[in-house]
Amino acid sequence: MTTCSPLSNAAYRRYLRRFWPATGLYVVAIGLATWLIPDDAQANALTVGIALLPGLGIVAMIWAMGRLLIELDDEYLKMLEIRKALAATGVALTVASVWGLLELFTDVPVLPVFLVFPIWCGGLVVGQIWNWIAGL
Amino acid sequence: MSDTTARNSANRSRHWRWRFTFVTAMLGTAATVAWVDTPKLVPLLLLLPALFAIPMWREAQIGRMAEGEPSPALAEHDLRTLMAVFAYIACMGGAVTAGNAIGPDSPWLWAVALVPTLPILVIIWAMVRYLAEETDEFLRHRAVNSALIGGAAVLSLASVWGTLELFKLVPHAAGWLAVPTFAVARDIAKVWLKAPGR
Repeated sequence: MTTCSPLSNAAYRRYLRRFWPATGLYVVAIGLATWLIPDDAQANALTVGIALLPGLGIVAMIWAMGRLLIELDDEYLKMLEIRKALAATGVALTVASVWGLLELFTDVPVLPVFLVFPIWCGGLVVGQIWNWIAGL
Repeated sequence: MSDTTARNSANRSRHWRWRFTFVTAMLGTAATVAWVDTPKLVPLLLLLPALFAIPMWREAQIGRMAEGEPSPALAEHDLRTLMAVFAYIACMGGAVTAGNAIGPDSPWLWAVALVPTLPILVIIWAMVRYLAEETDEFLRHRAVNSALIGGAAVLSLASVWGTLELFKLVPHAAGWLAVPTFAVARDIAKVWLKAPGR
């Protein structure tokens, strides 16, 4: 069996070069939006524009992950990443659906929609465990 | 144009007409639910687009057979999903009725609320089973790619809407919208991936 570090692959290095600036954009944008948008702000072009920036930061992270799947030339590594992403999607859809219906019928607190992405990232761990169990 | 080509073209056209009707009806239902803000109407409103799914499913099978892509795994997936959608509507109707009967303070309300989640879990399970059961590598490859694109669309929409929601600039989007949104985005991706030249 051969072992390899993901960082030995150029696609992973490019992924990190895209992911960290996107994360930085998110952190800066969320700080900026919290500072600039008052609690009782009305929805107008300015407030919506500022509030969109952190969301776009996350979209950039998702884009970086998509590019990784496209650019990975090692078919084995690509399969592992795709299995993780699909498992994470299943986890995110399941949690959002179950909680959404509990919200509809009971008095559970609402699940903020921005949590879907962190839940998906948690689902990647489930995907990793699924790969280990499958002996991959 | 040969008879076979003309027949395939007519099949495709009928399938896409039903698919368009189905998606339009689903989007109309979602907009109506959001507009009337009465979740208890959801099962009733969902019934109409779900009924459109039957001819859509039938035309899809005929179309795939005509095009020489008869995938038993895909037919099985579509049938499981269709049955789960009707089970969901029945469970939602049952849960609403039971919820009204037992009242908002009943400890059983949690169990009632969880009943409609079971068909949703079946829909997710059906997608997983399809990927495991599909023997045609090309169809599986297309299904995986469209699922990945559908997932990315849900995450992107949830993140953008979520940050707007965080600052109270838009109303809360219910979590149960995730699966229908995923299904629509995945199907759009499937069309895109099937486009000539890709």
